[in-house]
Amino acid sequence: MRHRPLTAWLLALPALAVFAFYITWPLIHTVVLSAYSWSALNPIRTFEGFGNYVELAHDPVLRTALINNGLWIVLSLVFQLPLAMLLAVGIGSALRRHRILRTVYFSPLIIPAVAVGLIWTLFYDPNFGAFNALLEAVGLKGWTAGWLGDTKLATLCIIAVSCWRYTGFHMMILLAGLQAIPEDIYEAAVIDGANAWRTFWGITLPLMKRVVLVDALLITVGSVKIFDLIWVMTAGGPNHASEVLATYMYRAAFSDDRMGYSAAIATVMLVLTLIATVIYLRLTRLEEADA
Amino acid sequence: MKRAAGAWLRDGLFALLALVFMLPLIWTVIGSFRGASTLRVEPWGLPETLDWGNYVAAWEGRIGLYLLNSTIVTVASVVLIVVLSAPAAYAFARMRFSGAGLALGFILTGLLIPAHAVLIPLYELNSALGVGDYLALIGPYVAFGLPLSVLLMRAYFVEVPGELMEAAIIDGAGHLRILWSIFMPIARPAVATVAIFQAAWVWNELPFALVFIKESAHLTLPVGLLNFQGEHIANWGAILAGVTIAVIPLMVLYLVFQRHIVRGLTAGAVK
Repeated sequence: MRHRPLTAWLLALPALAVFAFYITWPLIHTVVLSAYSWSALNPIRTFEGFGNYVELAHDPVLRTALINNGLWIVLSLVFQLPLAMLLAVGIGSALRRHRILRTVYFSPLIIPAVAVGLIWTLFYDPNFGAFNALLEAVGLKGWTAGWLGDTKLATLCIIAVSCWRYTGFHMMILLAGLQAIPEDIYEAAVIDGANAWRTFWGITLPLMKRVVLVDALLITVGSVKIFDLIWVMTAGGPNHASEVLATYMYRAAFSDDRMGYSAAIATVMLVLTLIATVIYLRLTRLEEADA
Repeated sequence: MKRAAGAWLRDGLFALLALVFMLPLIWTVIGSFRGASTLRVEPWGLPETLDWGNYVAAWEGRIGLYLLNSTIVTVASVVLIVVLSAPAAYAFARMRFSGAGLALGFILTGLLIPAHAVLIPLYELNSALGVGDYLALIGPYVAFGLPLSVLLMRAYFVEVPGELMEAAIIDGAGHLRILWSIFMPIARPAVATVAIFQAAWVWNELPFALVFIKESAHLTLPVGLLNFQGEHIANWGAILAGVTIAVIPLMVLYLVFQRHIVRGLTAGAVK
C-alpha cells in the first residue's frame, strides 16, 4: 500500500514534538547545567567545568547513595523476578480460575506510592507499630526492632515494601510473555512424559528469555530512579542511611539550593541508566545470536 | 487423587500469598474506623463502633480538594496521552516512511529516562513560561506517558487485518477517519491498558508534584496526603482514612478495566 510520507509524519509529529519539548531538550539541558553552579537565591550561573563532579567523587553521601542504589538493584532482581515468575506460571496454568488472585497481586501498584509509604511507616513504627505487635504476639519479641529508625535496617525495610508493591506488576509482564507461547508445544511435552518442573526449565524459561530480560531491565532502571517510597518513609534518613541518588538529587536542588551540584547527580543517574540499558541490549543480542 | 492434593496445596499457597498482599490494605481500612488512642495501643484490634469521625477529619483536612485536583490533572493527562499517541502509533504500525524506525526509537527512549534527570530544567521552564500549576504538571505527565502508550497501541495496531483498512481506503476514508472508526474500537484492550497504566502513574506521581505546584490549593493527592500526615502526625486513624479515600477512585477504575490488562499487554509481548 502506498502512503505519502508527509501524512505519516504529520500523524506522528504532535507526539514527537511534545516528547522532545518536555523530555529530550531538558535532558540535554541537565547535562549542560551540571557544569555550572548557581542557586535560587543567587541565580547567576558560574562555569565550573568538571568542578561538581570532582566534588561528587569525594562526597561520602554520594557513596552511600550509590551503594544503596546497588543494593536496590540486586535485591529487587533477586526477590521480585523469581517470585513474579512463580506467580505468573502458577496463575497462568489456570488463568480463568485465578482471575481474582491476579487482581489481588496486581492491586498494590494501583495504590499511590505515598499512601503505601504512609501505611508501612505506621506498620513499622517502633513503639505502636503493627509489625512489632505481630512479632510479640507470635512469641518473637527478640526480633522486634526500630526498623525505619535503624540505620542498618532502614533501606532493607523499604526494599521489602517495594517488593510488595511491584512483584504483581512484574507478574503481569511475565504473564503476557507466557501467553505468547503456543499451547501445542506444551501438549507435545506432556505426550513425551515431561513433568511440570522439566517443562518449565526446558520450554517455558528458554522461550521467555526475552521477556525476562526486558523485565530485568525495567527492575534495574526502576531501582536507579527509586524515590517515592524512600522520600515518604525516611526522606533518606536516619543520617543519610537510606539515601539514594534521587533523594540526594532532590535535596541538593530544593533544600540545599545547589542547582548545579544537583544537576550533576541527575547526570550520574542518567549515565547509570544508560550503562544498564547497553548491558541488557548486549545480553538480548547474545540471546538472539544463540537462537 | 494425588494430583488433586497437589493442586489443593498449590491453590492454598497462592491464596495465602494473596492474603499477605491484602493484609496491609485490610489493616488500613479497619484502622480508618478506629480511634487514634486505641489504634496505637492495640494495632490489630477491630473497631469498637463504626466511627466515621476519621473521614470527617480527613475531609476537613482538604482531602476532598486534593481529590478534585488529582482528578482534573489525571483526566486531562490521560485524554491528551491517548489523543497524541494513537495517531503516532497508527503511523508507526501501518505506514512505511523514511525515518520511521529512528523516530520510534527516539520516543521509546522515554521508557528509561528518570524524572529526576529533567526536574531542574522543567522547573525553570515552568517558572519562565509562568504557566498555572495544573498545566505545569500536565505537560510533563503527557510527555512521560507517550512512550509506553505508543508502544502498546502500535503492537495492537500491527495485528489489525489489512483488508479492513484497504476497504476503508477504497471507500475514500482518510487516515484519521480509519484510525477513529476502525482501529480504536478494535484496539479497546490496548486503549484500556494504556488508560489504566497512565491514570495510575499520573494519580500517584510525586517528584514533579512536589516541585512544580506553587499554590497549596492546587496540590494533588500524593503531596496533599504528605502535608495532611504532617499536620496529623499522631492521629493514625485520620491518616488511614485519608489514605483510603486516595485509594478508592483508582481501585474502582482498576476493577472495572482489569480484565483488559493482560490482553492489552500480550500483543506487546509477541512483537
